[in-house]
Amino acid sequence: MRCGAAMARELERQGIPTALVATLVSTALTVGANRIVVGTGIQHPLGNPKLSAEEERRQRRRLLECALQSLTTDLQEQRVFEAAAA
Amino acid sequence: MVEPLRVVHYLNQFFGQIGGEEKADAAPRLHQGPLGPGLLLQERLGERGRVVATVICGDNYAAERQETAGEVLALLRGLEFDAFVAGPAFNAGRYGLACGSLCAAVREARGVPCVTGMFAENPAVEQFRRRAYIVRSGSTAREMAQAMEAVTALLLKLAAAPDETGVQAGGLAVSPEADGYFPQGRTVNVVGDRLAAARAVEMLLARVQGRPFHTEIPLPAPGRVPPAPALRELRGACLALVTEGGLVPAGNPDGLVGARASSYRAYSIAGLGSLRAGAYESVHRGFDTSAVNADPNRIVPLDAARQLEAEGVFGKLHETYYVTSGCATWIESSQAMAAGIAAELRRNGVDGVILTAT
Repeated sequence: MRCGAAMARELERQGIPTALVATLVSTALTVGANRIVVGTGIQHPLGNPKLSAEEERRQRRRLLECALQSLTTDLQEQRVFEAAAA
Repeated sequence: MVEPLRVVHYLNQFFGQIGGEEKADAAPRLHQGPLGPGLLLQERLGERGRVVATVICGDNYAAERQETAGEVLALLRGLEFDAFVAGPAFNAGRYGLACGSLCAAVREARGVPCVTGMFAENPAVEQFRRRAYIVRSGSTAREMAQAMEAVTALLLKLAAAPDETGVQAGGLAVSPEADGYFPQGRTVNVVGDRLAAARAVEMLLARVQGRPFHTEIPLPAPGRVPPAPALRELRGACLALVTEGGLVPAGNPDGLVGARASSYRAYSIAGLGSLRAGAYESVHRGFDTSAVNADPNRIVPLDAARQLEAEGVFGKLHETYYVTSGCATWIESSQAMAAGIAAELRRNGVDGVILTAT
């Protein structure tokens, strides 16, 4: 997790907008990621084995749409993006 | 009476009195006894040590040739000495690289204490602080006297320790706080005078009462960076998928490590609509990987990305995904890997990244 946040930070530093999909938001903020998308779990950031296959696909799509939204949002500072609930 | 320490000193062409920038290509040479700042080093050492020789090399020569360290070691082959000092280099970039790499090389080859000094922002600090003792100095040679004092004090302490790394029974003979060198990132066991529980409660009380306290486990906090400019539009954008979740083709053909990774892998997703269960596995050692092994799209969301791409929500997906294992991975390694990936992305016209982490 720390690694992902540090990678996101470096990509952003180099001017490449980067949506970090992760669940440990506090770590992502501490390490310095800018566009943080709240994932669905440490063991499955974009999915949930407890959902039906159809529900899970819809959820994954919403998360990616949220990530895309973060990439097109002008920021002055770090921001946490949350996908709309089902 | 303890035998005086035999010290070898490294200087660049300028401090070594060969010349200025026009002599920056000078090859390494050996001079008997101290020279320039070495006279100050000798004065600080007093009777405790003797500068037996000075190695001088041009800044460009040293910075441009990987083999310089080997050439300097060859020059020193016949010479007996007990300690090595380089610089100090202050904020001089090329000189700093030479001082750092030589301290690391001499320590590793000869097993003697090696010390240099630099300004905190000298790029060589980050590059060599783990392998060399680098004392904090001011930014210019105006602060030579204080820098040489700190270098000498640390050198004498290291020389008196039973091991050139400063390790001795009960911990280190030296510490970054007490001796003013840049932390080397080592964890050393020391026996405290009070139990951890008592120290922790004391820290907690200090914190809630607003008194100063020092954590015993400082975490690296690289600091904020300004956000990258947002994508103006998605429809023409090329996006790449990156993960620190350790997802590789089944069998891990390129041997990605599951923890403390310092390199990444790149795999083609050209022509794939989703990542098939069984064709991929996560080698990450820091979480239960069964859910992502059962459906790799849970960590590299190719299926949903292809859907959005097909609908024209964004332009296209870069045909390669990048992966490493973010488990106990150093911040520095993470940044270096991201820098490598960024270069590849830029070459391929990628505009934005979706990076998934566990």
